[in-house]
Amino acid sequence: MTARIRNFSIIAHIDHGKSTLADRILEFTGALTEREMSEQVLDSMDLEKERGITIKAHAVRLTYRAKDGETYILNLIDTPGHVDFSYEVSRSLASCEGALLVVDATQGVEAQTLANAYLAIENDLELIPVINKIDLPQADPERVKEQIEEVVGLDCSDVILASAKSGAGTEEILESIVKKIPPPTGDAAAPLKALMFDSWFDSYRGVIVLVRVFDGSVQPGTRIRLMSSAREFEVTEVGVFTPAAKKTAELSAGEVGYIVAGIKNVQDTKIGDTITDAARPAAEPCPGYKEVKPMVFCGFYPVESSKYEPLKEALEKLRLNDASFNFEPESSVALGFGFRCGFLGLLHMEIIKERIEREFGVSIISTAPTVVYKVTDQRGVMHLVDNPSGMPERPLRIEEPFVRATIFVPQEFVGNILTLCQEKRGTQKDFSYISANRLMVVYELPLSEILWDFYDRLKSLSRGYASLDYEFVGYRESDLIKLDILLNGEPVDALSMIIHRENAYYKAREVVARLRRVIPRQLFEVVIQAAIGSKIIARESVKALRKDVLAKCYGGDVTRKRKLLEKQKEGKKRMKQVGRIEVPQEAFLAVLKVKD
Amino acid sequence: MSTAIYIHIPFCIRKCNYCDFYSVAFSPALKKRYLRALLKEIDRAPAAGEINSVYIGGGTPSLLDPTEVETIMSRIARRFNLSRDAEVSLEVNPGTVDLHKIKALRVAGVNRLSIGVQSMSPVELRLLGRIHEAADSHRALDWASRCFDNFSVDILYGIPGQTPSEAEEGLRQVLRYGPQHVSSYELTVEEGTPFFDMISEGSIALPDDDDKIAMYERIGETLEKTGYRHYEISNYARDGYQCRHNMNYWLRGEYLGFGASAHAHIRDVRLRNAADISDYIRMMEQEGSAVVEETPLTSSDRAHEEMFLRLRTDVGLNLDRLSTARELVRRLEREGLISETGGAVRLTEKGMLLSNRVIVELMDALERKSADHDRGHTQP
Repeated sequence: MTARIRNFSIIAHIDHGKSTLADRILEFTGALTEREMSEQVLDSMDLEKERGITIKAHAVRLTYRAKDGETYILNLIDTPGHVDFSYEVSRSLASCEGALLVVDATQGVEAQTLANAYLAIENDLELIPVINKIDLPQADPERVKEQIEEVVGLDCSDVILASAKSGAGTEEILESIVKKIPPPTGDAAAPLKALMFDSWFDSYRGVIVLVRVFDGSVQPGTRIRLMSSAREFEVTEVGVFTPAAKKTAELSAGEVGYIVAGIKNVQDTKIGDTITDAARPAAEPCPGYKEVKPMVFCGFYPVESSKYEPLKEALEKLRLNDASFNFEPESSVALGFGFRCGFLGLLHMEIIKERIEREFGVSIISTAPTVVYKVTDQRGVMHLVDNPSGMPERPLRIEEPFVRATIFVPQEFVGNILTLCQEKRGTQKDFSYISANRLMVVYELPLSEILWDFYDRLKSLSRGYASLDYEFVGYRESDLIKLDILLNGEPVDALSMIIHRENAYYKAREVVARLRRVIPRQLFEVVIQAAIGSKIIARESVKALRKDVLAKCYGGDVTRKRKLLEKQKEGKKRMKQVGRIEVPQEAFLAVLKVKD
Repeated sequence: MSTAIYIHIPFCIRKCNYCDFYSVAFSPALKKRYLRALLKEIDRAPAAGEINSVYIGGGTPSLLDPTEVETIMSRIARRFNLSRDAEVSLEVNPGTVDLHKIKALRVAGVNRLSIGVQSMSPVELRLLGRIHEAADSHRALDWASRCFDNFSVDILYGIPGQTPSEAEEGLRQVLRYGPQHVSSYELTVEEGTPFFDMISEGSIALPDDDDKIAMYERIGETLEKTGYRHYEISNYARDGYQCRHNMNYWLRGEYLGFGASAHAHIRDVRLRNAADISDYIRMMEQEGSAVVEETPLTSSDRAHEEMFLRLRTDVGLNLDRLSTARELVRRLEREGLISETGGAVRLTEKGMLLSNRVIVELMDALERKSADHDRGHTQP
């Protein structure tokens, strides 16, 4: 029954051609004709297309008639391609028996290649190496082959050379999937055990859940139980994506597909959870489940206070579809009423922010993102602090999250990268050559240090050649303090930040200087100060504006001049009024972005 | 209700480096066709109230023969009820006139000259790309002062390389001829002009804001001491010699506009003629109208216009227009940006330099009030 099923993923470093290869496979197997195909079908959100990254996982069932004359069912499970979503990637991989490891023939092995390959190996997947973009003039497949063997430790004697752009190698890849990836095992007669690896909200049918069935089967009418919460639902529909949704009679062991079960809330469907039959539950859930907790927090405030309700509605709608995103109301003296929002990472935060502005038309101010600190107060009580303004007075001890960052970098830039990691309070853990002129360096760094500009600077210090992957390693004690920013003597809570004591003076000066550049001249002088407690450690001022006037206005000019002033008025609206001072939106992020 | 008329003469001998007004190279044949179209437009114009001002601007209207000016004026008089004491202004480029022409303009019905001196410095005139020299200005000012009892001078400040004392010195030279009116404009750099390119590529640089403010203040002080009143952001006049035509713009009066790129304001609609001279001529010949855009003004447009135009002048804005922004009015008054007397709000000298900010703050405050009102003051 399952002998002719193959469940596989494609894993790759960003931009190594994963989505294009997926398109070619869909095209080759006839899932979509060329005409039906808009570029990169699997990345269906606009934002995903624009940024060239896959955010949500999808699964497509394909049929392929192989050279052995048999027809196979191939389930292609797409994985998100960003480090923020590594847990989701691991659950997608856990649903497969094999994966294509795609490496760009011009770039070679990069940090995410390695991280994803390790995830796949941990999940016991059969890896098929594919060297992509071989038709580019700078392609060096021999060198890349050696790298895959040395760095990833994968046998490349029958590596596939492909060009997802031209379609070269596609058939070879499909043949290899059929031959090398083992068929799923599992007992269709055993109690139901299905791994949930994705879910989203559909306004007609409620939550749609993507699963890999390991044992048993599920049909419309099955009463299912979600093992982490013990909540139960009745299945109304099961099916597969081809990529169009197609109902089936059942999903059974070895198969991948979707379940609709009248689930109203996407928060109930936790990625990695196990679905079982309520009447005949499985003894053990699928391994590897964990509750995903937001790592990064920031405040979202409507620019205009009248947009509070629309912002709330937008956040609620987005949360419907994103179990890893959460928010709760908060208020700020400077910014009024808003929401504290938690994200998996910065990219996740940027995506949500962009969607609020683009899809819901609410313009927002986001405060500087921060990690969650573990702060022990004077009485010995530990607090989780995700907002600098919630920092207890004179804490006894502050711990911050650390990550282990793996960076691949050409030798000529390694000096820059080491300097950057030192500056970001990193501790070197590994330093090794992966080929004659490329190195892998591993650092442990505070998550807060890589939150904002680390990736951009890594890229600019290596002319784009360095690649990064990181994983959370735990909390460590650090000598941190709260830095307050004052405008004309008044502390602005939304600008406070938690920083390392050693960098305090330097950062305070940088932040104050940056604020001076972004705060426009006003009718009065604006004094910007940075303080630790009551001690001022940096000061700048924005001189009062003395001249802003239209020299001329004659009869042919009235409309143009009126529009000019109205535009200026709209610009003023986009500023946040803090006391009497107009502060532009970017000021609230300026505090983290201390270097251009 | 009286109406003003603006006539645009879009010819120039050469375009100045800073100018973004519509103009084309002068040619006698083109001028002839253009005037024919212009007279047709006057003949076909809608009826209007008494005309108390006619302003012939450009371009370079002093390129017209005085007889042509006379023809235009007599057509206006034939079509409209032209008031006997209407203000009839004509812009003069000092490089295009002689004594004979100035006298003839007087006879043609012009009673006010606006002389585009711009600068008395040979270096600055060259930089500005003017066709005239300082000596031309001296002569033109001399003739104007002998033939006209009402003439105005345009000067520019904030010219690259200019110092505040040079700006003041230029003004003093002009004042020796006793003009009744002075327009003192800060040089503004408009996109699409040679100046814009020169500044973008860094070959010239404008004086900094502190210097420009110093020039504005010294020019203003010199004029006030000499008996001119600062009655609009860039305009100064002896008592009774405010430019009636421009005041009509700023008080949102009605006006008709004739000629290429001319604008009109009638019954809360703003109209614009085709800017291109050949389009204008073709449209007048074929369709009898050259209007290419009509913009009816909404009540908010009108309110905004009223606010920013009136606040440019010493007439000021009626306080009851700002009744929902009382708090802001008090604050701006405390800050010395506006003053309130006799039920009207006016910009102070300091406030004029910051007029955009003041106007934007007022517009914003009024808007917020009306939004609050619509929402019924709901807060989360």
